[in-house]
Amino acid sequence: MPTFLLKRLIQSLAVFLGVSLVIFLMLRTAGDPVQILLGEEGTQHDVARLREALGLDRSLPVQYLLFLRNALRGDLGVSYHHGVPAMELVLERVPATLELAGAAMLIAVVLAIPLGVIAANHRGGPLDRFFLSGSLVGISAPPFWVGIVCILVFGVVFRWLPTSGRGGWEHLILPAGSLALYRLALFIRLVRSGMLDVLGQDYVRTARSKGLAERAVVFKHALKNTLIPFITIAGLQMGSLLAGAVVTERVFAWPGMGRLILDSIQKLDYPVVMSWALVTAAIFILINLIVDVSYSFVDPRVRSG
Amino acid sequence: MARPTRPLRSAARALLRWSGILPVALLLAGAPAEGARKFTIAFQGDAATLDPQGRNETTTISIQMHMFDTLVFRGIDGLEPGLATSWKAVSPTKWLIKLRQGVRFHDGTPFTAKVAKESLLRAQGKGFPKSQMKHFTKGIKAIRAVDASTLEIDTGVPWPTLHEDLANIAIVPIDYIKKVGDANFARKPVGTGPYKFAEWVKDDHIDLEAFPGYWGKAPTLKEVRIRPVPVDAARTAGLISGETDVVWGVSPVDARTLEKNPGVKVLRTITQRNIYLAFDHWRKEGGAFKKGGSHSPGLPAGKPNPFQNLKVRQAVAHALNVPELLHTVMHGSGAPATQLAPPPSFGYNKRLAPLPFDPPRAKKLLAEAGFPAGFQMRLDCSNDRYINDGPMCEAISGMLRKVGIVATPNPRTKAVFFPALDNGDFTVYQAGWGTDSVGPTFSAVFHTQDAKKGVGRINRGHYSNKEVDGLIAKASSEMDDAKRQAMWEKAWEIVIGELAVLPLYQQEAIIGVQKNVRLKPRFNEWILAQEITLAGRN
Repeated sequence: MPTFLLKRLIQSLAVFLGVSLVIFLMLRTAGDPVQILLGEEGTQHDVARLREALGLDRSLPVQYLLFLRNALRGDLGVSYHHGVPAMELVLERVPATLELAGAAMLIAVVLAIPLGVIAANHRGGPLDRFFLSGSLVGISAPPFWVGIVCILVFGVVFRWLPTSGRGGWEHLILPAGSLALYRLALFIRLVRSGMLDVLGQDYVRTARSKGLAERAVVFKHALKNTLIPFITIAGLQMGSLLAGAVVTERVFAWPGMGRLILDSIQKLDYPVVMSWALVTAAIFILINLIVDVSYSFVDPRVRSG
Repeated sequence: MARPTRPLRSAARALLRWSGILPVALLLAGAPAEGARKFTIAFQGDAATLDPQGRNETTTISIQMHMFDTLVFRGIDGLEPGLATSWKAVSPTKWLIKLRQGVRFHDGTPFTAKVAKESLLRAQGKGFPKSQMKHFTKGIKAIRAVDASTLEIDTGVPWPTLHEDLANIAIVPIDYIKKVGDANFARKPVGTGPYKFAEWVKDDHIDLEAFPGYWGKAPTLKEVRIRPVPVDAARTAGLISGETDVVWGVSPVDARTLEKNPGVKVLRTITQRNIYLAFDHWRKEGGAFKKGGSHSPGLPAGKPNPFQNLKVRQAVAHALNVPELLHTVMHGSGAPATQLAPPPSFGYNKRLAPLPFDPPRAKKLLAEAGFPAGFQMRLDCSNDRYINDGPMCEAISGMLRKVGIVATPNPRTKAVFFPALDNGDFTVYQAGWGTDSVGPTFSAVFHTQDAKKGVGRINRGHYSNKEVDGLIAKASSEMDDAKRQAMWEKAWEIVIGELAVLPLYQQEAIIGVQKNVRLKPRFNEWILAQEITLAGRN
């Protein structure tokens, strides 16, 4: 295990370096932050002075090396727009994003597993067809549209829930629900197809012929073996949610990382985008690690292998 | 294509059913329920910082102006006394500012001549290099506190607009800042304004409380929450559902729907944001773009640049039906403009009229200019900077085509569009200009380009007229208001007569409010809770 972790750590460093270089190059070709900061009405003198102050008058390789040097000291720069350390801005928004992503995943997983199992058990029946077509809507509906419809139906027409912002649990329901929709649809399909695969296999037939109760066959023998692909995909989904549910956070004015990063990209606020990218890379690395470790609990063969 | 599967078809049906609900829902929604929540104002974005000298951006300043005062206050109808009770130029280079007495900051410390002086110095960058208010302090060479209630400002050269500059510089609690540092001041600001800071949860809300010791009129609203809600439709929904009382930046389409809703009101005002077309005046012929090259990139290679000819620029003006563009593309929002300044501003020339929509005359002018068959061109524009800028650019191209100018719209994101302009990669472009200060407008947009002198930064088409340059220099140091007004009017007459640029329309600010809210919208797009009253109260 320690060598495994060490190897992972070294890999992560390479990932960080690669991510930072790619983001750096992408940002620098995207446009001019000074123009966006000062606008049309900024004066010539201000433009030149700001460019110098932000270090944007230097060559690209020099800018990147300076960034690396400062990053190694833990300094990812000061946000152009907010004037405070960029990493602080990103980290401030982690709790809100964690809350939203956690709630959305919880809703999706808790509902998807039983619904997926039911669909597989009623293969071809009306219930199965209902879940399948419903999940297709969930997968296809664009998140922006889902969010706006949720706001209109539950916030404007019925006035059951607030339309935006973060606060008590009632603020969480709409954004988490609309985020969960896509994952729920995806997971139902995953569990269903995994179950169908497994239910036809010999060991299930053996279990059944042993006279085990159907319940035990399905949940103890079959379901457990469908979980590996499920965990992999769920981990990736969790990662992308933690990186920021960009569209949903924006629609619901949720003060999370996704909204910050979208604003920052539009303003070409390089230090914030960079800090976000590194935090996101760290989240993905961590989640992949958790996924790998959890395999071994679900499937003993991974442990020995 | 294969027949859609059953789930696909039912999904499509569901989508159709649901999307039909949107407009109906907006119409059906009734009057908002009264709740025990705070009076809430929704902007599009959050404040970048709460340090009033840290970031010069409309939303940020509008939020800060609840907590801070300036010496000269930018009132709804013009400049008013703020922390200064009067100001006067005693000589062309010397101003005396009388300071209000008995004013206290929210933490109880007094506002003094020393605080006023050091606030101005901080805006200049002294001890605070991050100041974004430096360009408003260019006229300040030396400041002296003559006595406890008088500030003397030496401008070095004649500087007739010092009081306008002072309206942009907030007075800050120098001792508090020294104690807690700039960063903490920006998080927990202390000012002299009508509201004191209560809480800031970034990207979620800023809470304000009326300051009982405020020197001016006590605001009607005692507790105010300011919220950033980025998506237009969500802001509108929050107003209809009764969660917000005032929403900034209602889109023109939503405004039409809101106007049919009996529970809310829509307030409109013309803003200082002016949309215009700019022309390449200096490159002689078309060709591929090269930075610093001699070819105008929006024209076919080898073809002459028609925009050097005034008649062609006039033809463009006659080809465009601005009221029609506003009616269709902007859903009736906005007003035709005659110059790059809003009507209530200093230097505005009331005598200018837009060239009328007259396609036959446009064709005639094109023929006279030597382009009887018209020509091809590219129209550059942004698609995410101004209200409906992309569709507007396409509609303008369509109108130009009708008189023979085969214009191809080239809408791009602002982050790419503006740097391209600065590099000279355009022949004609559509952009916006937003300030009510005539001096900076002329030196940036119409003065002959000279990077060393810092003039002509936005004069990307290299328009050049010695008479205009001379007027700019003279008006900038003329201390007599009437004479200065006449000079600027003359300057407008020349640049608009020559169509240095073609002003199209002024953007509108649309604010949505609950029915009981009384508020006069501002053309600088600020929303200030202290200017809001409620029907049935007060």
